Amino acid sequence: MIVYAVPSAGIFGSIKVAHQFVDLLQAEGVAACIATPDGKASGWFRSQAPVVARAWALDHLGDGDAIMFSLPHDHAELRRSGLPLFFHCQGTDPLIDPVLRDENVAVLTCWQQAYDYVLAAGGRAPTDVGISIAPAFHHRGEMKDPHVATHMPRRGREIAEQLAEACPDLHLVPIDGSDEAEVAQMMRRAGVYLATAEGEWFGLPALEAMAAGCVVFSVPVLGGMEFLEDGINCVVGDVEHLERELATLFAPARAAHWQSLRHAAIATGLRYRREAQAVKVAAFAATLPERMRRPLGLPRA
Amino acid sequence: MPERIAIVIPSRGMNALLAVAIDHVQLALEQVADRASGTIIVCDNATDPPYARADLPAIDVLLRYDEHRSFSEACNAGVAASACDLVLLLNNDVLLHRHALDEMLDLVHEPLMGIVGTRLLFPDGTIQHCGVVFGEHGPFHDRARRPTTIVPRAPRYLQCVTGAAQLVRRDVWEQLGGLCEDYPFGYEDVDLCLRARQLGYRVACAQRVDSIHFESQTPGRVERDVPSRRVFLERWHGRWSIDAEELPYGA
Repeated sequence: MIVYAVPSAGIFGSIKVAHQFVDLLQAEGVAACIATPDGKASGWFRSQAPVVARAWALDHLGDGDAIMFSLPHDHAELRRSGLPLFFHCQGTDPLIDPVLRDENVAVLTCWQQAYDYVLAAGGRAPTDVGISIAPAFHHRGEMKDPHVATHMPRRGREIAEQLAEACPDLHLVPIDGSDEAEVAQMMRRAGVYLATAEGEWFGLPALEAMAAGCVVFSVPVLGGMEFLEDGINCVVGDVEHLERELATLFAPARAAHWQSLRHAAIATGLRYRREAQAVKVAAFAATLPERMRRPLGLPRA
Repeated sequence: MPERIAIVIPSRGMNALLAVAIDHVQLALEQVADRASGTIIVCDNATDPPYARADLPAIDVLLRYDEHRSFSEACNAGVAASACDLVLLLNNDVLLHRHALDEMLDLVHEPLMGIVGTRLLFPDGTIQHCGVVFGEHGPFHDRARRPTTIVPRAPRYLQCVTGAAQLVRRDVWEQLGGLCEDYPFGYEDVDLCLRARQLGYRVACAQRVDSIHFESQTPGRVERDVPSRRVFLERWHGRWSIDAEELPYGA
């Protein structure tokens, strides 16, 4: 069995990605569950992943079982378990470097730049297991309000407000504090998403917004550049550049341009369907030893 | 070698319905006779007057409680009384479709599978059970009271299926210690599924055919539901993954 240890049940993209991965592992016939510090489940997105307390998991795992994690801070504690470890690399923060250098940790990556980073910093080729976005985000042809701009105020609120000033007809709608279904509804209805987290390691909301048919205006990021293609499916640039572009958002002469970006963004989102990731997860699952795929045995004496 | 299925039917009163339910079990067993054999065990849960063995000629074992026990206790006693590879918990108001067991047996042999349910309908043709899903406030029957035609016939993989017709691998049953007996009546099936999934087992619901479930026919059943829900929430609240949108109250 594989237990995916997460640091909390909070509203962080990495928590959701962990649950999605466990759901896909189960579908591929690999026994897997989520372990949170207190055994509480996340309630802000859809998943079927079983949840246990981390201490319970560490007490019950035995021969053949393994632990997966994505937060580098967990490395030391989990290493003491003596069990095989998988590091699910979702970002490229140098804090992960010691994990990458640990030869006892197998590394999985979900983004191209994470793959490249592991190759460079860890000196080894990781296993690409991909990433996907929840079906709720994919645009279904709903009527959009071009004046609504969704954004995540947790990082870059000032930038969002500055950008909104460049386009006074734009109405800012924050998405923090909402559950996944509500965020998906907001994005599918919105015309624009402002990605304002400078130096973002891991920008799932921008990809979700693209799938939802938003025109994404993004500051340069560290994670997400594999799907953010400036001028093709979004706009990427410094704040001044974004301001200039947003000032033309409702200019009739540019309507076709924005529509083109929107359509390309939807197409980009389709590349990250759950079914597409399932193919990669199946390939990974096929490499696991049979005893690691099995359900948990009885508790150790 | 054919697999041995213990069909455990806890029952209180409802003599005529029980007899018809047993007839349906026999029909379903005939369809899978090439790969499974069944032992039908009825746990008489304080019926007054007690069931007479002669009135239930098709069953193999009749157990009897003189005082009313929980659903869990009755089921656990029934399973303990049998040597089997698979356990089928069955309510006395479920009329199994003759092909229901066939699909359930297919599913229970999929990798990691621990527990399998099946689609159940109310007599009016609407869905009683096609899988249990979880919202913020707890588990509920997905698509209940909706037409059976709106749910696809492919198997569904879920967090839980109802114990009204629940096929459980015996080794999984033993590993879990059977049903938790803290529940007066209700939610012990949900508890079993959640615990099985925590160990890595999967839960699925067969959808190919429609069986009938009259639901909550046993006297006193509904009154025991509230304390059961309390036990369930004390144990599990906040510990299930949310996989469905809850309908507004009254919807």
